[in-house]
Amino acid sequence: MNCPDVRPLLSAHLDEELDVVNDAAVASHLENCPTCAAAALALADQRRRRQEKLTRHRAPAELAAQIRAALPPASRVTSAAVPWWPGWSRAVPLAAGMALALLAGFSWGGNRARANALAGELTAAHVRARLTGHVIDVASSDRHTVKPWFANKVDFAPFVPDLAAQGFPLAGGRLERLGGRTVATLVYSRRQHSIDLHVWSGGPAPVAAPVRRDGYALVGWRSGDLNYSAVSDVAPEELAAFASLFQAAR
Amino acid sequence: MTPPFEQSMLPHLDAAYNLARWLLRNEADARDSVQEAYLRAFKAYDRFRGGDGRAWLLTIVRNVCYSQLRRAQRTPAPEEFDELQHTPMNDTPDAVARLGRELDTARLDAALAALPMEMREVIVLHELEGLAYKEIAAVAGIPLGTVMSRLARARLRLQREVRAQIFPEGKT
Repeated sequence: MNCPDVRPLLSAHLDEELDVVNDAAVASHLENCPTCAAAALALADQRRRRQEKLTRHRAPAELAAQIRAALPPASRVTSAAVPWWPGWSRAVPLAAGMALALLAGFSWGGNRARANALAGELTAAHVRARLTGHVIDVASSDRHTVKPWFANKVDFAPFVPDLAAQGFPLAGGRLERLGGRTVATLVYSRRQHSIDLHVWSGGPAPVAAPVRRDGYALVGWRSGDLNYSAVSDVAPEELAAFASLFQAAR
Repeated sequence: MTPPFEQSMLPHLDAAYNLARWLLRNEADARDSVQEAYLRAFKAYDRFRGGDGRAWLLTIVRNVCYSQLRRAQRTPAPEEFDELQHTPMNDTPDAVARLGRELDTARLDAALAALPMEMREVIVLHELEGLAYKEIAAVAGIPLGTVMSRLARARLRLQREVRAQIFPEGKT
């Protein structure tokens, strides 16, 4: 690739939206062409400045109420009736059996309902945190700050890899209470979005297959004794990429 | 099974409002359009299959805004946006630095407001709302390649507008 080929692709390259082949070609050109590399830096700098400075208008406070008032009551929020956690502390053998079944792909109906309830609760936690502004208890992009913060709060040590170079910088962590259990939640950023990664020890495994729920993407996996469930409003493919990177970082 | 309407759509209210506010460049119109979009979304909700709720809603918001603009074109166009007010200050250095930062926002906002609609919307959707190219393609109803080239051009144009804000005489 030469300069005239590369220039129109720089913008998409910075956004990590190019296909693999073109992206590699652009990257290798940038290594050898100081002029294009400078142009890429300028573009990145301008984008960062805009993201920091441009006004993101927030809906006036009364607008949600006005919209709600105009809708019939049947559309109102209902809480999930199916408990996704079957009495966590006293149900370990049962839970372990179920974990295998869950990982095997939810072949039976009860599990599907429970997985649905889990997906609902994880999504609700993600939305609730953003509505109340309680997204992060410990704000740091340094994993050596975030990991020890959990030390006295949960009975396991969550694995906190640094994925900034891959486009998922760490933003911090918080504690969640899910299914009557304390869950360590790592928060990673992706552009203007954030990803909640809930980590808990023991109990049934998280929703294994990627799913979408209320416009949010979910993906879960199990590693060692720990269960992981990631929830975000990024595109499902991006969340899947995050999950692979996280697991590969082990 | 799709979740209740409010649960899946109200979390995207800020995104809906921000898009409408930037497309219409006017608070009252943005508010009306968002409200209308939510009502339309509610009526069409049985056709929503539980995919990307935000992109689905933003598509409707965008359609409502475009209709609103087409209606408005029949009436005399209002002032597009306020000129930057460079008020001279004799204040503490702190206040001056703070004003500098706020002016920076005003300047960038004005530059974005001056972009043609189809460029403005890709910038808002990508840089402010963080939509992936694929989602923008769905919202704006254009091919992925168009999203890519339009966003690249919009960024260059925006940078020119910023420069024009700083050097209104056309000097560089």
